[in-house]
Parts: sequence; C-alpha cells; structure tokens
Amino acid sequence: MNTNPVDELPLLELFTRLREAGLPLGINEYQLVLRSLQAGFGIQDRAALAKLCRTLWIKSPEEERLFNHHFEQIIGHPTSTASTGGSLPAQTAQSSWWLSVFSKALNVFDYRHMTKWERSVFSVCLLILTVSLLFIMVSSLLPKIPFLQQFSPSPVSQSSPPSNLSTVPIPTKTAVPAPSAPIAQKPSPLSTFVDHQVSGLLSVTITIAISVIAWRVERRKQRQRRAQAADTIATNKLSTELIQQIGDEVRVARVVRRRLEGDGETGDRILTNPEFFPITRRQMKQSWRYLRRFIREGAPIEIDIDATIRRVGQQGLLLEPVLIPGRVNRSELLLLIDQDGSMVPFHNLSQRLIQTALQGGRLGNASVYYFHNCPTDYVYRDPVHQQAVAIDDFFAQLNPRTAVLIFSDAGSARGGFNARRRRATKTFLDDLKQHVRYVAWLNPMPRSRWTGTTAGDVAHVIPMFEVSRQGLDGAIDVLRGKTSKVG
Amino acid sequence: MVKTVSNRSLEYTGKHQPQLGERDDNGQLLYPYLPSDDLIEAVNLAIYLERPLLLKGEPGCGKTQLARAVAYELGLKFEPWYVKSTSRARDGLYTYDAIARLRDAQLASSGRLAPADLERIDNPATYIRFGPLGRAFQSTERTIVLIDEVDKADIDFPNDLLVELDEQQFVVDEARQDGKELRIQATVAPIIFITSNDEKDMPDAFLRRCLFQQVQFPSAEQLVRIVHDRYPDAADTLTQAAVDRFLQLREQLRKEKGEAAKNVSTSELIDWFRVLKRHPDDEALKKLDGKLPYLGVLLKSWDDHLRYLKRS
Repeated sequence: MNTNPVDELPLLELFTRLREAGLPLGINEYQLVLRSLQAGFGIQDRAALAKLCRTLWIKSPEEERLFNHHFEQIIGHPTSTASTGGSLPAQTAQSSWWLSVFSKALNVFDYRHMTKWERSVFSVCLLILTVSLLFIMVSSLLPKIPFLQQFSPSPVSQSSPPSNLSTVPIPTKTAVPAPSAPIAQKPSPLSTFVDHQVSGLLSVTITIAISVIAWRVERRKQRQRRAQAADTIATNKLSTELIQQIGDEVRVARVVRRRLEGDGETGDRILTNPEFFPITRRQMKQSWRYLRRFIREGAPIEIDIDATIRRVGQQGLLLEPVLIPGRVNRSELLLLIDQDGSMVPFHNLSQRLIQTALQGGRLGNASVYYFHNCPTDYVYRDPVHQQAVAIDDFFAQLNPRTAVLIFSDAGSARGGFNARRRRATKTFLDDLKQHVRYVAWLNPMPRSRWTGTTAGDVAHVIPMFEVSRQGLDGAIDVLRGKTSKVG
Repeated sequence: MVKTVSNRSLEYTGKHQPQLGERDDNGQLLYPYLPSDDLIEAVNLAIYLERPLLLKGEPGCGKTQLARAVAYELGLKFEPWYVKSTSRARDGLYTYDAIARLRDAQLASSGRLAPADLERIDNPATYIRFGPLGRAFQSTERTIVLIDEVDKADIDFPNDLLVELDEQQFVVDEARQDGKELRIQATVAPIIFITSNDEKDMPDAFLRRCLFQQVQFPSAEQLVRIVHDRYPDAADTLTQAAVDRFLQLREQLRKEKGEAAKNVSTSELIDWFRVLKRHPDDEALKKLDGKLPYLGVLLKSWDDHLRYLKRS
C-alpha cells in the first residue's frame, strides 16, 4: 500500500550521498529501509522516516550529524516529501507566475549584473526615454494650461507611439508605458508626420537596445545562478562547521573530491582548508590494531589439550590436565612527541596520533612523553613542558618489550644540517636502544625533504617513516619486530 | 503473566510492566522499565528485521535492563551473555569439555563404566555445552539474547561473530562423526541486543550488520516516573525534589567535567533515592534542602567530591 510514496521519496539519492560520504552502507541496508517502510515503520511523517533511517544506517553520533545534514538537504523541504503531497491550486501557481514576472522586470534594472558599456548605454536609453516621456507629458498638458501655452515647445519628440511600446515583449516596458498610454492616446494637434517618424524610430531603437541589454543580463544571471547553485551545494557540503563535526576526513576528502569533480566552473578553485592530514583517524586506528603482542601470562587457566593428551600418552593415565596461562595483549607503546618550534604545524597530527593510540588501539599500555627538538636531559609528561622527568628516570622505567615511536621532523621542516642536533639525537637513540628493542621514527615531512637535512642523517640510524598510511604501517611493523628496514 | 504470542505479531510497547517484587525465571528481581518512543521503535525494527540491536549510551542509563524488559513483556526466554575481557566469540556458541572426555576415556579403559555410560560417551555431543547464543539458535521459539558490554572483549570478538549472526548457524568442530559435521541452524531468529560502553571502537563490518540506537539520558519527567514506579509509596513531593536536586548536580558536573566525563546516572539516582527513603518524608525533604545527603552514593571520585564541597 505504501509503495507509491516510497518510490517518490528520494531515498536512493540520500543513500547514495551517505555512501559517498563514507558511511559503511551496502545495498542490504537500503533494502532494509524499504522492507521496514513496507511493514509500516516510519511512514507517519518526515520525523518518523528520519528516525527509521537513523536506526538502520547510523552507527555513531558522528555519523548521525552527517546523516542529519544530508537528510535536511535531500528530504528537508516539506513540499518535496510525499507525505505532505497535494499539488498547489492553479490560482496560487498563476499568481506566483505573475510575481516572478514582476520580480524579473524589476531585476532588469539590476546594475550589478551589467558590464560597463551596457551600463552606460542603458542609462542613456533610460535618460532619453524619460526625457521623451516628459516632453509628451508637457506637450499634452500645455494646451490645457493657458498661461503656459506661450512656452509651448517644439514638438520633436512629442508623441511617443504607444503601439511600439505596447508590443515590446519585455516586462520592463509594460511597466513604463502605463502612465504614458492615456496621454499619448490623444496626440497633440501640433504633431506632424515627420515627428511621428523620428520619435517612432527613436523609441524602437531604445526598445531594442534595452531588450538586448536585458537579454544579455538575464543570460549572464542565469549562468551565474547555475554556478552559484552548484557552489552552494558544494559549500553546504563543505561548510566548515560540518567538517569540524565530521571529524573523520576520509569523508571530508571524499566530499571535496566530489566537489572538484562535480562542477567544472568551480572546480579549478583552490580549496583553502587549513587542515591537511595525510592519514585519517580511522586509518590510524586500523593501523594501531596491528600493534599487538600476545603473551601467555598470569595464572594458568586454559587447558592445553595437546599437552594433556601427550602427558596421558606418557603416563598411561590422566593425572591432571596441563594448564597454561591465557593470552593477553602485552604490547606497550610509548609515544615520544616533538612539541613546539618547527612542529607547531603538526600539533593536530600528533594529538590525533595520541588519541587514536589511546582510544582506538588495543594496546595493553600506552603512554606519551613530550620533548622539544631532541630529548636531552629531560622529557615531559605534558605538552607544555611542565612535568619534567629526568632522562635517566625515563630510561629506567622502560620495559625491553616497550615499543617506542618517535614523532618528530628531525630538523627537516626547517631544512639544513645541524651537526649538534644530529649528535644529540644519535646519543639519545643509542641510549634508548640499550633499553628497548623496538624503536621507530615517524617524520611528518615527506621523505623527499629529508635529504641533506639532519633527518636524512638520522634516518640511517633508525627506521624513519613519513606520515602516511604506508609509513605508519611500516613503523608499526618495525615496532612489532617484523622488519627493520632502515629508511 | 506470560503471553503466548505468535512470532509474527511480536511487538514491544513498553507498557506491560512487572509488579513490584516479581522475579524472573533465574530469580532476578524485575523492575519496571520506561523506554522512550525512539527506543521502542528501534526494538520493534530489530524484531521485525531480525538484526541485532546495538545499544550505546552512558553507563547506568539502562542499556542492559532493556533486554530484560523486552523479554518480560513479550514473554520470551532470556539468555544473557556477559562478555569478559577473556571471552572468545566461540564461548557464546558452545564450549567443548575435553577434560571430561579424557576422564571418561580413562574410566572406560579401566573398565569402570556401565554399558549405558559407554554408549553415552561414544557420542561426542555429550561433551558439548552450548552457550547463550547456541541455546537460542536451537530454541523453537524466539529467544532474547543479550550480549552485554561487547567492547570489553578483544577487538576480534565482534568480527568472529559475524558469520554466525548473519547466517544464524554454526558448526561444532569437535563433534564430527562419520565425516559429518554437527551443524546447528536456527529455526527462528533470536532477538539479539548488544550493549557497548564505547570504550573501544567497533569494526565497521560488524556495525554494518547491526541496528544502532543511542540510549539517551531520561528527561526530568521520565526520571520522576522511573523513581515513582520503583518506589510507588514515596511522596510525590519527595520524588520531585530528589530528581530536581539530582539533575542540578548532573548539570553542574557536566559543566565542569565536560560532556564525555563520567556523570551521575539513573541507576545512581535510584540507589540514592532508596537511601533517602529510609527517612520519613519530611525529614528526607529537609535533608535535600541543604547540602546533598549521602553524596557517596552519587559521586564516585574524590575529585568530584571536593569539587562539590567547594561549590557549596
């Protein structure tokens, strides 16, 4: 019974948009909504439909914001929803048509959309028109005012031909001749045939000029409107507020790409997004998940079936089962973050790295320390360098199993080679390697910028990776002890 | 109390509530549960579409209680599965008691088993113990399964359940007999509720298969109703005053600690009210006027405590 409204709803468009926005939806999920609608869920009104889609398609508050945005855009206008239905009465349609004609007529006088010469021609035309109208009025009024008759002007442009004006197709003119029409209907007796010729020619020219300008303006405006529409859709999708809300730039990136591909006219504009992340939050989380080290530890609780059977075989009877400790994830991660100075542009990135490691990963234990340029005598527990920890204390608490990931540009952001910095870094790394087995370095600068800088030199001593999906995966591989490709 | 309903017309309304002091089959005390309209709709969708319903929300807002309430109203069997950090996906389906089998084999070899027992131990299915999900799959009528705090387990846990939830069947590897595997196929789809405290993110593949509902914190009127339904003999003025003070505290904590921090929850309000109710009504009301009484029931960290004392 509800198939009709379902077909009319732009559900598929909404679904496609959400998919493009990066929500993990499949065709099954779309069918779920259709099935539910047919079963009578969410058909009462727009809010019910939104609720239904939300339950079926949305898996987190973040996605909900994204959904609300798209839902507003696509099913947002109540007139377009099937539920409100009902076509507008013809009367309203007609009156709105007249309204639009009238507003269009007014729009012709919109100087903003004209070029310079158009503006001047238009003004001249208007001036001539006004002057001639004035003349007509004056000349038709003069005979009635006796004491003014002596000033009766020469009747050059006295009679503006009403026939010409009334046939003008553009609405501007229909508005203009209205007052003049009754006046022109009783032409002044002074007018001659020649005057008729001149004034007729003049008004025809003026009319044509105005129409041409109006047409050109209208065409330009239409083009602009089209571009604007595409732009507003794109900017709506891209509104900074939304970007901040989304929080996952895979989606933003997709929207941006869509926008750039979608419309040619605005596509060549440079996107001015102050944030650039070579790796997204989700990708980071996915990478962190690989950093696992399962160790059997703690009280023996699991039964080792193989060992038990072997023992039964050896002893001839089952005395007691062989128990082994359970598997626990004992990967310990220590993030060493370079803060301030040349790393300021990357603070967001490092914060994200920390957040995802603490929240998204399955790490047994993750801790963060900060330093500036190179850890020398102290590292800090907070980004503002207040809670200092002496480097020896820091080393002392390290577990050989701890994986240490250093996030720093190693001098490659400013460029140039600094022998002192290189020496300090190397000393630190040598000390560090005596305490832990797995150390990797993430450099927010691309690899091509390392050569010739301190970073290029440090990269020979320690596996250094640039910040990208591959880079992070590579670093995590090193931390797991898999490869030790020195970059 | 138990309504017999056909599988088709299962519909949760949230109106059928247990009486005070009523217990379920496991001897658990039952309490009234007042769901929001959104939640009722989501539950009905999950029942109709036969998909698991993933419930998220702050601790103590009644995620776990919902499943029990639905089971009560619909008169269905309730199978809770409380996930622990060591839980594996297979535990919910079945566990195989290898030790018992070894022991029996040993007893049999020493000739200390009766012939009837010998027959029994020949059957590998003897040593299979089905988990909550396994039992629900075998049941002939729809069962409510609660997978509680799914985020406590390892990251692989939800992913390991994907196929079983999708196809509603599983294979018992250990019970292979004559080259045939023991396959358990659900005849009716269980109604599955999954709760998560959002401690860790769920894999996308798993999320895709679930319906999602964020359980919101109840409104003030709802809170009054909740407390009233729990303690119907308490005076309305006392209930109202307690809820008001509670919401004040909640708002204050939210402002100071931010949205994400631990805040006082419905379950704490109920506990707190219970302590308050030990006093006569007028005395309890008087206590509410000044400094909040029994703060220990509401505030769980020394910092919160200090913060509150400093303010007042």
